[in-house]
Amino acid sequence: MRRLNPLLVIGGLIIAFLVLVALFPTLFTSQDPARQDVAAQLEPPSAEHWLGRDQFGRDIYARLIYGTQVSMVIGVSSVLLGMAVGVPIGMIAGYFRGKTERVIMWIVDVKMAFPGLVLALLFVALFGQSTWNITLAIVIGIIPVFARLAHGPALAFREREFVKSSIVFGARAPWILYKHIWPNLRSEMVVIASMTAAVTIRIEAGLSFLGLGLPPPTATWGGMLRDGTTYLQTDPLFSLVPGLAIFVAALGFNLLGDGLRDALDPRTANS
Amino acid sequence: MKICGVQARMVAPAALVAVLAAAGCGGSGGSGSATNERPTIRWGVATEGITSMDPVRAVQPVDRTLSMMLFDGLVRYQPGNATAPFEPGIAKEIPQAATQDGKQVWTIALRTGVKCPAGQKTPAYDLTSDDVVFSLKRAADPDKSTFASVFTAYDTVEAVDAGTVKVTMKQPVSPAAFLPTISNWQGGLVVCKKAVEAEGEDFGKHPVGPGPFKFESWTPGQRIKLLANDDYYLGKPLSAGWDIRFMPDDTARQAALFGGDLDVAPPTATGDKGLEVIDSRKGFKVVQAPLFGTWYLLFNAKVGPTAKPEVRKALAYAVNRADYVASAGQRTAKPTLSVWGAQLPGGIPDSHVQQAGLAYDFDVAKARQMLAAAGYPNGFDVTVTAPSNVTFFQILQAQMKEIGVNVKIKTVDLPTWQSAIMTGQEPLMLTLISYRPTPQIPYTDFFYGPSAVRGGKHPAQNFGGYDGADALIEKASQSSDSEEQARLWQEINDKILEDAAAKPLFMSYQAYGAVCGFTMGGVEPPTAIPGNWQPSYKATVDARANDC
Repeated sequence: MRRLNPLLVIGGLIIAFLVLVALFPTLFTSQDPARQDVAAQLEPPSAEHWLGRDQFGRDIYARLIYGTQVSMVIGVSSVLLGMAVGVPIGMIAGYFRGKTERVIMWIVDVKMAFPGLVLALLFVALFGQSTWNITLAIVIGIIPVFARLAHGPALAFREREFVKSSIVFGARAPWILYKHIWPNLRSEMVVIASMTAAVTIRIEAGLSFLGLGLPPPTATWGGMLRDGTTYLQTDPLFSLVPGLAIFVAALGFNLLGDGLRDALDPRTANS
Repeated sequence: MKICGVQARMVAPAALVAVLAAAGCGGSGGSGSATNERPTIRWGVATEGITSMDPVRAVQPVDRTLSMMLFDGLVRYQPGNATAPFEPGIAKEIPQAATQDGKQVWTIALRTGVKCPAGQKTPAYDLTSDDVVFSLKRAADPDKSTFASVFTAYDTVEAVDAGTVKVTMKQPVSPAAFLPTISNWQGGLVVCKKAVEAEGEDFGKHPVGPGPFKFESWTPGQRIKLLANDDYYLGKPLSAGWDIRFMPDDTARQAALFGGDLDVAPPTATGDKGLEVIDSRKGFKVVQAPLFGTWYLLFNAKVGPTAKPEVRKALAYAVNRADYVASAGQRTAKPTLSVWGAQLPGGIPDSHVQQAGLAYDFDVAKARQMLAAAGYPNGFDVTVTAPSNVTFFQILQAQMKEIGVNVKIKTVDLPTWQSAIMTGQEPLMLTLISYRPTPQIPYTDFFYGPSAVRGGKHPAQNFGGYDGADALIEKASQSSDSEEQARLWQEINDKILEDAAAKPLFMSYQAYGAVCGFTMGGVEPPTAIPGNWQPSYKATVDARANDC
């Protein structure tokens, strides 16, 4: 029997836990994350408010819990969308070659030159701050990542015998891409998706930190981090806690990605 | 310099460079080393630079402060108490109005011995009526002055002789309206004519005036140095001058203050917490500098649901002042009930507002009931633009939610917010009106129909388009009787509150961290200051005082 990969287990547990928190926040806190009590602002941790209160007297622990939703929803959905768009584009470029490939890869290269956060900032500033816009802003940034990674293998597989024979039998391109090329990319893409989720979560937090995340009073980790910096000297816990949450989530996805790679790669899986 | 090293290791590398550069670590010695010599006061300001030191072009807070240190008025605010009667400045005594040929005339006798110090192009000379006439005419000229509108009631300004100036008015005005125009504030500040003529456009960079301090040097982005004007007519300054350092980085500035490289600086964090850090530090104290301005919730009186006065009143009851005060900090925010509080010249005491039943004390049940009666039993939705640096909008959002008014906040940068409120379409605005020498100015700029930013004849800062007090505001502006004018100002206050054009929230006070021996040289503690910073010639640092 195969021994379970410890990276996979730890990463998987972290992510499973975060998903649970995001889906059922009320299991973890009974407090309303938007409820203010300004007179009690910046109260230190107590039995009632485990991590204290923020500058509006809101419960920091409750905001941390509800902030998980934003991070997970935007982080995960932007990766799934990015993959759904990027992988086909990359496969098409690699499979058809010629002019199609040159145009697609040229666009991808141009886009790769832009840092993801800068592009997302521009997009959100132009189109406004909503869950959909922020997700879209991040998706645009990560499409090229998947396109590039799908392009290489597609190039290699199109020359393989099983693809060539399919063509001889009259198979059409979409069928070949889906039935022959995609299955060979799948495991690698899952690994990349997990690693990219760590990036998208950080981009979302970055946007919120810069004030371009979801509008108040929605709790976001990046927004909490930003609010906390004003009180860094007097209440370090206020910014430390969301910072730690971002760190743990990014670590979870990275570990999961590493673990999946080891588990799915036939060269390491059996060793 | 040991302190420099210790401090430097405690801050991040980027901040470290700033601390070392701006604090002059390893450089010249500070006030601490001076024993018998007069100290130089080292003041860290939270801006990257200034616009101009020329009184008619000084628009930023630090610009204004500098202009008040370098120049002086015919009459003067008592340092630290702007609500006290004016004191004679360059004028021998407080002028009285008289009537000549059917016109109101103010004859001002000048004090002798007032000097214009030497500038980079001009030698020192005795200030005469020539300089005063030149200054007032310059301040009233819209091509040369930002504050020309303050002088619209002026007809002519003439020199009777070398020691007397005569101002003739187009229409009579009250002393409360006239004296601020010749005070040590904005356009009233007297400049040295010869220096202005010699410097031309560069006067704002090389200012010369009869104030307690004289300009020495300006290194953009780094510092401005002032020296004591030992010929100052009220007395020799107690300090040798000022070393004003631009330190926009909060952490670096605070580190420089605690490290002994500054004598006074604004605190890092706002609110009471930031002040506690300074108070708890041995050798340092908090200097309260009243009165930065008044915070209001302004309603749009023309557009949307708030166009109905009943809706505005309902919302006003739903707003809890205490939350804004708590957020800003009890020490730097004091609740205010009147539109123009009694801590300001010509202001209305809260007790009057309370008696008149216009306080709008927080009452959610009443607010809900009134909103339903106004036709919104289920509340309504509005989108409010908010500048990213003002957190009060989130408090407003939470308070409005209680009565069913869903506020969607669109966070933008400050310039975008400013252009948003200039459209006159914003439903709710949280805004600050800073110090003005009389209530007539804020009433006219912010609550007068023709000043409306949307459709006003002379658009100013009336962002909500309110015009319910127009007749009273006009009457008050034409009144030459101080008592009648004061009564009208109170009536305007009541009318604005009655119509719920705005809900006054609190007055904000600026606070600074300083070494124990620092004093601004005025009323201690100061009760009211034009702008937020006004050191007199008696400002100094006592190096021996290290416990407070």
